[in-house]
Amino acid sequence: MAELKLEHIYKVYPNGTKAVNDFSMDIKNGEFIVFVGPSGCGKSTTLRMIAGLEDITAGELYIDGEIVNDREAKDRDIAMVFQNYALYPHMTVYDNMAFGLKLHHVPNDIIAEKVLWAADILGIKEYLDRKPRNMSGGQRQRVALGRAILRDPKVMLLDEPLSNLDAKLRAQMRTEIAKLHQKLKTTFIYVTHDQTEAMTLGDRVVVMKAGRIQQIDTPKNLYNYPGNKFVAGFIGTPQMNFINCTLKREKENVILHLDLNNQDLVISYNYLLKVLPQFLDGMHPLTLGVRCEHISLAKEASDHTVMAKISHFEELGSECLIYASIAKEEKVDSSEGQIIIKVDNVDGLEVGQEIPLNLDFNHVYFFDEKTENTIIPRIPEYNSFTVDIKDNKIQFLGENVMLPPVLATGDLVGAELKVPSDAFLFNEGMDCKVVSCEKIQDKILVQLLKGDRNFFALAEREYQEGEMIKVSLDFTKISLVFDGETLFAPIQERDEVNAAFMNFETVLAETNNHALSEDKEKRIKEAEMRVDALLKEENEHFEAEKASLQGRDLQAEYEKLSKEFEELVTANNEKIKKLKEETKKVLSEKKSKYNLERKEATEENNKLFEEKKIKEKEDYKEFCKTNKDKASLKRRSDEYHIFFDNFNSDKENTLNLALNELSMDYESQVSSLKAAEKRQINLWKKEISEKKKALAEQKDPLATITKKHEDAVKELEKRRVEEGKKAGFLFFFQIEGSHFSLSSDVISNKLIQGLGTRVFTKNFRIAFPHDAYQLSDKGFEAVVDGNLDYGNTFYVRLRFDSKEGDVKYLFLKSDKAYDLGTKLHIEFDLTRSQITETDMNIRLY
Amino acid sequence: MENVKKNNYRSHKRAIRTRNFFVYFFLILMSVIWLIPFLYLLFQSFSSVYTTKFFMPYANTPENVAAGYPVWTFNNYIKLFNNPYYHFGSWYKNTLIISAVSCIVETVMVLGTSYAFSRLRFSLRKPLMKLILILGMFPGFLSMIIIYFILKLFGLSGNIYSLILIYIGGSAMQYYIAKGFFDTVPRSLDEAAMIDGANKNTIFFRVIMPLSKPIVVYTLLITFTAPWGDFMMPSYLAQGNDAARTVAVGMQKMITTLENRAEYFPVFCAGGVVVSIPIMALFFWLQKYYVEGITGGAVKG
Repeated sequence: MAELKLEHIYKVYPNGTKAVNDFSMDIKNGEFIVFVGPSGCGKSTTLRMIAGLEDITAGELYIDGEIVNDREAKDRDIAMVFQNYALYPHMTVYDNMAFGLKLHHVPNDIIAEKVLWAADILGIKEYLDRKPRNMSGGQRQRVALGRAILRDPKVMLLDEPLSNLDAKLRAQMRTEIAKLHQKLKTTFIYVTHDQTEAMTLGDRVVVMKAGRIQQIDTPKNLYNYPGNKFVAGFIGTPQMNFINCTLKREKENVILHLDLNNQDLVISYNYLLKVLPQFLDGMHPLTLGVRCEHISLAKEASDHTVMAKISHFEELGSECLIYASIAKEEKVDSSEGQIIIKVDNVDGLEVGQEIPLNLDFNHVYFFDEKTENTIIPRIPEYNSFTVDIKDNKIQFLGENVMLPPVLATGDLVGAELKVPSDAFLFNEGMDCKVVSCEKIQDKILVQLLKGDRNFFALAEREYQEGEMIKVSLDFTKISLVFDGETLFAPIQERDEVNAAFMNFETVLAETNNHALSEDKEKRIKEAEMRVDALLKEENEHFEAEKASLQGRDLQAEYEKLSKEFEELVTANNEKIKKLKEETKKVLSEKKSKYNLERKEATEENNKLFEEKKIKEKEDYKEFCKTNKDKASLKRRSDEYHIFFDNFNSDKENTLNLALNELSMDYESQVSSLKAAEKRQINLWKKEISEKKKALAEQKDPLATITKKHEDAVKELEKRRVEEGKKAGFLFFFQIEGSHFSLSSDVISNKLIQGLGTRVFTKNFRIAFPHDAYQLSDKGFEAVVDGNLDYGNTFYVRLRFDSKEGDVKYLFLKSDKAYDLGTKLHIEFDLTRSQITETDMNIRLY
Repeated sequence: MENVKKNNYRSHKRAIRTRNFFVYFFLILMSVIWLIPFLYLLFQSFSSVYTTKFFMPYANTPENVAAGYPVWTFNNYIKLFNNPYYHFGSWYKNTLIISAVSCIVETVMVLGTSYAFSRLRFSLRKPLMKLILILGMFPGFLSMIIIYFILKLFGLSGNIYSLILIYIGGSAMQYYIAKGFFDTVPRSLDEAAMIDGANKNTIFFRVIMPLSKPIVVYTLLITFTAPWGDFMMPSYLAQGNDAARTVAVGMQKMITTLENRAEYFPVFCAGGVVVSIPIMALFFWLQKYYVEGITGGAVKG
């Protein structure tokens, strides 16, 4: 059981194709995650990267908080089920399942126990001694599952485990996998291209396309709130209906214009409150998406209904699908304009009929035709208000609000004020009524009403419907547009600077700063001292053990142990010999029985075919006698000859079939016996070897612990050298001419991991949040250029000349104003920054 | 209807039978021609005296002996090993040691190389494969003089066991067939083993090798028969040293220096038969592993 964290994972192949592009995700303990998407979308690659079968180009993979990028597959403690099962064909089912544990040197009795437990869960107990080739697909897949679960891995990875099974078995195994997950409560990651599997199995589903995540959500949310046209079309059968259209808002109504048949529908704006306001201008080409169950037949045509012509029906028993077209001219090969409608029955309808359709606008989706993204986000990006400004006061929702000095503009009439959902401050300001409140992932969205205007805001806590709350604006986040010109906009969330990565020697050569070398020496010394403390501890431990040996009668203990050992050896050898003899006897009995059965089967077959031969001959004679028709006689004679030509091969085939069955039975019995014998003997032998080891240790206990101690000391000394070396690796960022030491290894490790030695030749873009700066007496120098007062927050704008020669700005969150032209020195908090490699645009930190 | 009648079952069968008759006749004829030298060798090795007139020796009766006919006898084999001039026993021992040692080492080398080329991805993998292929196209004896000088440098010239070094040195060149076989073993088996916690060695010896019996056997046979029958290199190295001969070189010496033809030609034939025994034995022993389809059941099927 484990938590997984994927951070900006990329897979770039040498030829430059990005198989996986910026994959970030948190997976909780015990979750069932499904990756779904069409083939070639990178889902399997992502899974294989988690498994360690594929290198991660950039980004980090955490399992239980540890970076495992460079850890080999065998050390990640994961298990994987492959599409083609990948069972070892030369091993029995038991050995297949035990292989992993054997490699981890788990004692045989524990292996046996675990294998039996897993076999019991999966119902393959009676096949344990079969070889995979003697099993059916479903059984093989169960073995593969068993092999995975019995190691009790942190994460179970399943790569299209059901796609080689037939439909019925697939449904059965699907429920079994779901049950298994409930029982084990391990984190499961499941890859499939089948959306039914994804929807039925997953706690959360990741929809992928062309290496990118399209949406991560619960199956229900994927269905109800698809994030883009691809997800909408991919999830759900029959596929969602798509119709090209435009939307134009006219006061409280919205005109929906369908491109295909030039029809205009009138919808109340209340249905489309969340639609991004810029798309309601009648100019943006959009795609309307509606599922077949959200279309119904209307009684009569009106300006809310769509007219469509029925092209054919599909009756599925419990329900019927009507295929209709809204296109004026019907095209045979085009699915454009085709609508599928789900109804209970199609009585009274006929092909070619024109029918009016009602769309359920609570369940209609709109997508931008260019980007294919939804224009109805679950959390609206911003609310658009039409406002007037006079004397620096803004007319907002019927009240006059004073603008802070930094946002001062002239007097305006009819400007557009964009207020993002998170730009509302609660607990003071104007009174609003809560219309609704919903929880979306970890955010709480409230719909508020002030006057006759609905708008959305993100709240910190949940509110009751109908509650009155106070709301005011966060001026740092709003923007104002007038005549297509942005008058003010919020400052960017992060400041960006260019940087280069450097090692200690380069920086030393460039700056000639000897304080750096001293610092390095100090760091190395500290690291070595940490190991020295461990060494001391080990020495003390050794002395204590040595002391505990004194006063014991070691010779007597040894003699007792050696006597026990000898007894065990004779007893176990006796047992082994007996078991071997017994098995040999049983085997020879089985063999003679098997040979007898073979003989009997052969004889029986001979008899059967002899009878067949005689019968055919008689039949033919009879036929010749009674029948005088030449053509039918000829046909019969051909049949007769064919019978005799095929007689020998038929006979042989039938015999082989019978013999194969016998031999398979025999083989499985034999291998079962042999395996049981081997297992038992191994167990006894193991007892002996364990005892032997204990005996050897007891022979000279002082030497044993001395040896152990020496090994530990050697190990620690090695570590001391390594740690010292590691502490000596110091890296720097050169940001616009100044050098900044990377205080922690985390950033440099990530960068070097992602880029290797190329890290020194690449350029980086570092983005800092506004409070990641610290004023100090050295460091980066910039000039105060302005003070921005937003009323509740205060920023200082700093100007500096970048290397390329243009002027750049940093915004420093501050609590006081500085005089213009003051030179400030700032240090960066690199741990809070985002670092991006500029050539390939890969985010590394 | 008319057509159907013409192409009825029996006439179709007749056509097949006629065709088969000619095919089998030709094949049987070819195999007889091919077998005659072997049978001749075998019969001669058991005949008491060599004459050009008789294919098979007669029964060992006093009348036949008196008539001067060649008769069945086992003496040739005894003579072969107790000959003061030709040290067949020591040749045989030499060849057996050389073949066995180089067979085992070469098999390991070939399989290792093939597995690496099939599974591991390293830079220069493809150029290396091509280079080896091209090098393999030049006949080995081109480098004979150079090899001789190198051996001389190490003080190994005239030492017949340095052949082992020569054979092993070039063994990795034969990676092609085994690599082709390893390519057919599903990669997901390697990956499953990797996830089970196996390192590359464990995968190779405990997962891939048991599945590759046919190719192991094939490689064993090839790497045994090549040194066993090689003539050029050993004859070059043996020079005049009688003790340092392999069977191929020794037999050649024997046939070129034969004095009493009538008496010693059957002995030579017996030598030929004895030489073929180890290869036959090896083949019969390994034959049962030499079956395909062992991977059945590994994956989908």
